[in-house]
Amino acid sequence: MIWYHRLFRADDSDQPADGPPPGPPAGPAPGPEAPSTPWWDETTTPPSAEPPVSSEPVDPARAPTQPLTAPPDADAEDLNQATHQLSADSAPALSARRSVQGLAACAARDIGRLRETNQDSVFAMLTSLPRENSDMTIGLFIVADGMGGHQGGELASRLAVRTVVQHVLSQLVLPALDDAMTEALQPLMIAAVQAANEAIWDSAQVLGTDMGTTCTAALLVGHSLYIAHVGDSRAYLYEPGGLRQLTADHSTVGRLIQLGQLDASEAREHPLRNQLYRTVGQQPQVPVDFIYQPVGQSSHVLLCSDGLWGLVDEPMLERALSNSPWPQDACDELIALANLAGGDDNISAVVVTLPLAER
Amino acid sequence: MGLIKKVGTRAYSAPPDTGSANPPPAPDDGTRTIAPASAAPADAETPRAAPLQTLAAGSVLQGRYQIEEPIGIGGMSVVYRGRDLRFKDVARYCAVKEMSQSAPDSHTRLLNLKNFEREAGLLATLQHPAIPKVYDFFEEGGRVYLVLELISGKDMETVLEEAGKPLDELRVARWAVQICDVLSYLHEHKPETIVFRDMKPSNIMVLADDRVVLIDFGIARNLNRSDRKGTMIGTEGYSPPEQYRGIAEPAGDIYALGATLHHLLTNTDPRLETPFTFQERPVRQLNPLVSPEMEAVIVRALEYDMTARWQSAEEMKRALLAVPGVAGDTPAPGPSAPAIVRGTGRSELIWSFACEDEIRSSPCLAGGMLFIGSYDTNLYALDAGRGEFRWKYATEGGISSSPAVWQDNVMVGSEDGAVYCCDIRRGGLRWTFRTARAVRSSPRVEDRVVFVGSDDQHIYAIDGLRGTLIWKYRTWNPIRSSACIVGQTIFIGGDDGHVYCLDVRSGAVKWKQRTQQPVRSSPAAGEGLIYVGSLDQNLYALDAEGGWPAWRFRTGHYVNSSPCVVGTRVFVGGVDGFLYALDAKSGRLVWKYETGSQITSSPRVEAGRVYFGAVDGNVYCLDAGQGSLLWTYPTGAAVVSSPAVADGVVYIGSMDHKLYALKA
Repeated sequence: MIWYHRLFRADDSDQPADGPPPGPPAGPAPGPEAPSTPWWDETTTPPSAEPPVSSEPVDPARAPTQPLTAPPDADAEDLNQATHQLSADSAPALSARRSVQGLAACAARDIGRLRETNQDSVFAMLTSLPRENSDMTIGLFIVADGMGGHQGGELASRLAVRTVVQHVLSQLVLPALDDAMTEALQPLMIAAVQAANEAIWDSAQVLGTDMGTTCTAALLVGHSLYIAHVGDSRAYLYEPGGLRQLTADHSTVGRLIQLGQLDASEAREHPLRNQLYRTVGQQPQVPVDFIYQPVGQSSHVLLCSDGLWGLVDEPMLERALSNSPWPQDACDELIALANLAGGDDNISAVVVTLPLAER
Repeated sequence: MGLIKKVGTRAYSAPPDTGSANPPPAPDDGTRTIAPASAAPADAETPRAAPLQTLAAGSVLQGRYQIEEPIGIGGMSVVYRGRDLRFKDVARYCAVKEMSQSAPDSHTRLLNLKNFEREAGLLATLQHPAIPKVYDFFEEGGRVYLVLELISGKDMETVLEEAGKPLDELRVARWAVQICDVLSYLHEHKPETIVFRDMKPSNIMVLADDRVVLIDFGIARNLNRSDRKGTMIGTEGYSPPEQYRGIAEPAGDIYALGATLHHLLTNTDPRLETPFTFQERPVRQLNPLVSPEMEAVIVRALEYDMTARWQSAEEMKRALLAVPGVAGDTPAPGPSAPAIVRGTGRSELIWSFACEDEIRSSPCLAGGMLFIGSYDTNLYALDAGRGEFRWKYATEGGISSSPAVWQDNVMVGSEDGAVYCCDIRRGGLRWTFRTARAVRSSPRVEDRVVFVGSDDQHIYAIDGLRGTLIWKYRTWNPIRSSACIVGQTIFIGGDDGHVYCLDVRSGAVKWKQRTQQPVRSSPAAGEGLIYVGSLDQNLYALDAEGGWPAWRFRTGHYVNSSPCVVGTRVFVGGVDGFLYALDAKSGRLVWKYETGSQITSSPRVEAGRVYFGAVDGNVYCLDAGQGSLLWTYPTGAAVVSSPAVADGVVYIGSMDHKLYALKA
């Protein structure tokens, strides 16, 4: 590869944009118009490029945007030449970047102030999977809010988490380690929640009870979220413009709010506000919502049960997320806020901080 | 509300092997009716399902009404078939409705009792053939009873279940007219309007002569207009949105009737669907046999906004009578009248240009010029406006690769194994780059670097100025797909079934993802996803970073066509003859259009229209939103070339040797 870097450097690296290239041409005479911006001299990030993930080495292509110790204009050419040689895949990255926030996740749940049992279950996992010569960052985050007496709620939400985790490990993680992953992620995530539905339904039949759970399961692959969702737990993405709810609540009241037939204040007191029209484990089959969402420049992913979002409004959620770069701190603060607001239900939150070079 | 979320209030069909584990109905479940036909097994089921001890057969109430069997169990009551013993010589049957008192707290019990008394009082004042007559009302053994006319028939839910498919439109329409009549009667009741409030198939009985009768007035009540905030009563799925704000007006019955008609004509149970999604599930989409007129009646009944619905049952009835075939006794002229006239428009030819052999290559537009390769070995340059010949360059093999323009260079691959670069103005050769086999992949250029695949199994990056090699990447089969360049990576398919993601600078593989068959389709990029077809019959959406499929959509045959992503949709043609429009994020089918002939051409979308060619020789133009045909244009042979569209003109090649410019 070195020869072509040398070739380009010798010929073109500092030529005027519209002049003919100096030096011996290596082929037939070039046309009258030379390229305006040769790609090897690129100093700006292409707009379509995704922000970097901290677990990967910094993309060498973008290294020139981070000045080293040299003043930007004095030694620009040297810097460019240095990065040319480093642009091969195996080269170490040259970067002065210091992230203010990295990829991290924390899951927490609290019994609240009125309930005697905690029927919520949460899960968070960050890992990496090999892909050719590098690795992909993968995250799996789940919130499940169980319902049903005689410990049915605890059992249902735990079964949901267990089944989804097992499904993702066996259908994605292990096959990817074998480099034999051909399953599509969307049907995989939907099937994971449907498997949870079946597991809960089957054990409800055996136990002779009626139990169910919500289940919001988000798979992070690099910079994209694959979310499978049933019920009224929520997934939010904290975008530069603010918190955005990615999931739709499967409650009649939630649907009426969506349609503009009911406003949020009426909904808070509505006798049917907790009534779900879709749950995991209470029917032999369940349709599962699926949401694909690239995270773009977002700073956080938040998954939570209605014990949090029902009591803490969005500006407060945003503030709690922004207060600390650490997901553990954010989880603690969110739970404290819900308890301060009454804590009338179990509270769960999964906070994922996304890599940010600067705010 | 208790501490536990209320769940499972929806009706679901229990699995066939319901043993003793079958959970009892939730206390607030809507009325469930056991069909009289299944009375025998109901005996066994009833004691468990009913919250109260049902009366044994043979018990006599008031010394007059002999209980025969339970025929229905509702949330608050049990209905028995009874016999009036006062008529000794004839068997006169009646319905005996018993107030069930299972509620644990006295307040609710009192409320239920009041409801029951109200129903009795209300029914006793009503005189309408579609409303059951009240014979008697009494208390006995701490329970309250209502004796009613026995309606012998089937409720509409049972009728629908037995049919197992959507019911006949005219039959349903005639029922609906009768229901509108009885609703008019109730709504115009003096001194106070009566709102039925629980219109649904299981509350409407159909008699042998197809007359209908409303049953279960348990919640119908005189409407007191000052009482705006009430509790929600009704059945989820059929109830209008305002009922959830405690508003019960005649317009709510109109909505619920609309919901009922939607259910009967589509056989999709609204209790099993997301609430308030009727508008997203149009009747005719689920059952194309229904007339547009009937659909329009239902759509208006189902408006969220009360004022946008039919303003009275009478108005809705008139609209129903205007549905063809409903008013008269003669049945509608059924299938002989096609509902939609297919677009038979034809585009106008602006010009055509004849080559000496087939055109498989796709045109490339740049600077008012049009470039295309032909199997006659030439790369042609034409004036795009008039189709006049400018120059041609002869390679040593046929051309099926499509040209690409970068600055003042035009490049194309040839069956002779080389990539040629010519000056766009005169056609003078600038450079050639030789590979070991035919080049059927089309060059793609970004920032001076040309990416192209070859049948010699390599993917090449070539310096666009000089035609020198920058890097090459070896695969295990020919490369016929063309590269998609996104930032620092390119995506390209291979005949080895893989989709490759390579670094643009080094050719280092970032990932490769296997499909089951060769990938000849060229990838297209959307937000975070890469779309590509495979001969394994799927269109794949691959995660751009990880390469794993996000979703795949299975068609009926190979997908050679290259997808086109516009906004939230991805369009692709199939060898199965369909042009598909899918939701880009979920892969859900939005529409498909059948041409009846293989589509290997890749669609182009411009100004809300999709353009593509098919092997039947036609060029098609569809509406991108709905997939309806706008026009076709016949050429003399198969069209495998993909269109280029600019300034209201569609350019496309055909196997009849001609290049066409058509009015878009």
